[in-house]
Amino acid sequence: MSGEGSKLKYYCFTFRSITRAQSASRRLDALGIRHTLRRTPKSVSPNGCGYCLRVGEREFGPARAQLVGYQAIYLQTASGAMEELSS
Amino acid sequence: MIYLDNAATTLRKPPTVAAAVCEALRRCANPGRGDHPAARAAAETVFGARALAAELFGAEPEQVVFTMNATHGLNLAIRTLVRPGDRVVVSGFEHNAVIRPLAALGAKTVAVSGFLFQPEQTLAGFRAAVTPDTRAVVVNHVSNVFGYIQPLGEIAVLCRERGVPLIVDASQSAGAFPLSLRGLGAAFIAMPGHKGLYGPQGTGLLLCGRLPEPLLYGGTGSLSRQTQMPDFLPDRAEAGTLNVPGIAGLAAGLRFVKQRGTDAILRHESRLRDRLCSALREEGLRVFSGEQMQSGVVSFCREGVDCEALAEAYAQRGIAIRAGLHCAPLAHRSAGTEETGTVRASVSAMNTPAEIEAFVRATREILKKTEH
Repeated sequence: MSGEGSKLKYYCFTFRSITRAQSASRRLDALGIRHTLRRTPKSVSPNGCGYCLRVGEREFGPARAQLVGYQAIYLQTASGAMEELSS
Repeated sequence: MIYLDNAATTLRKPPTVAAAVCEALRRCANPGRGDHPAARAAAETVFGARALAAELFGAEPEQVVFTMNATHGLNLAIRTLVRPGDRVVVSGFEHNAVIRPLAALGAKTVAVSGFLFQPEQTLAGFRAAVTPDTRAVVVNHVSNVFGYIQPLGEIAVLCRERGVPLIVDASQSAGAFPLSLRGLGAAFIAMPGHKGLYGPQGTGLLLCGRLPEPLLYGGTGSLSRQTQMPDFLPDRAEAGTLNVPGIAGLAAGLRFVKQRGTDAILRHESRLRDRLCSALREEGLRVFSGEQMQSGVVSFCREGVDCEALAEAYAQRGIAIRAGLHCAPLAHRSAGTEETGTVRASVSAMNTPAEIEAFVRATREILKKTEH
């Protein structure tokens, strides 16, 4: 997994389990798509305890094209607010 | 000590196994339960092992469930598929890890008994026994008593053709034989981590071709507000904190198997088995031998000599083997040895030809003594 650096906006692909998130992370690693694996922010994890892959704006398109099995995609703004994107 | 009880557990492991256990004890906290470095280290360790097992056994990482041992995995599999009164067809070489859970559930267990080292007859027996009302088939890939390699691929085809879920007990085959969840189309494959995968005791794998019913209920680090267990793998079958040091050791064992290769391990064990069988036969012992249909497990006995006394005589000479029924009375019934039991020698990748020769010398000494 690699850091996506300091950017104003992030996209979060949320997963129900850490194993699914880790599988997805490996897939992005193999393709050289920068991302970080994090706990899903509580505000968008109503059932509690999820994991997400966070990518920057530049990586969002390639990541979205590769990832499967995620629950939802959120845009995290510079203020920290999370907005769900329609899939 | 010359250790020839590898069918029970492989005592001699690659040195990387103990190192990995110690490293995990130092570095790893609880996987999937936090975002701090120690939790991340644990999560990466566990996922690394899961991914490696998936690669070795033709599965996706999510289909790999960590268990305590093969018995745990078999209980999970059987309790998922079988209800009281269900008809379940099993081979004549099943371990009590299969027979007892089925009995506890009140299943109608039909055993394809007999046919030691007779794969065609074994397969014919399954063809006759697997009826449309059969709820599941359970097959011990390799007998823990006789090393009989059952025709698993053909039985898997039969199960697929007849739409019957297949549970595979790979306790004696994992690590020495190619195995693929995808290839077999099995419902479940259970295996221990501490035998042919060279991991620590207290570890095992259940490969899941379908969603299991939980045996344990509790925290999984996912969907925490739900009172039900998650309906996805592997979380559904992994309640509570995982045995991370054990899993780290198992990953080291898996890496050893991957590096050496199952073909090379099987070739090595087969050479040792051939020498064991021929030497024991030359000494006049009754040897249960199936050549190409046999793994590195060899049972033998001496008429008029109690098998436990024979094993004790070996132990006094620093040789570890096992006698008795080996927790598999059904297998002994199939071979006609239920009353006497057998003595079992079982080799691993760590045994050497010199150790086998020392075993042969000890056999001569023991037999000489029993003659007087």
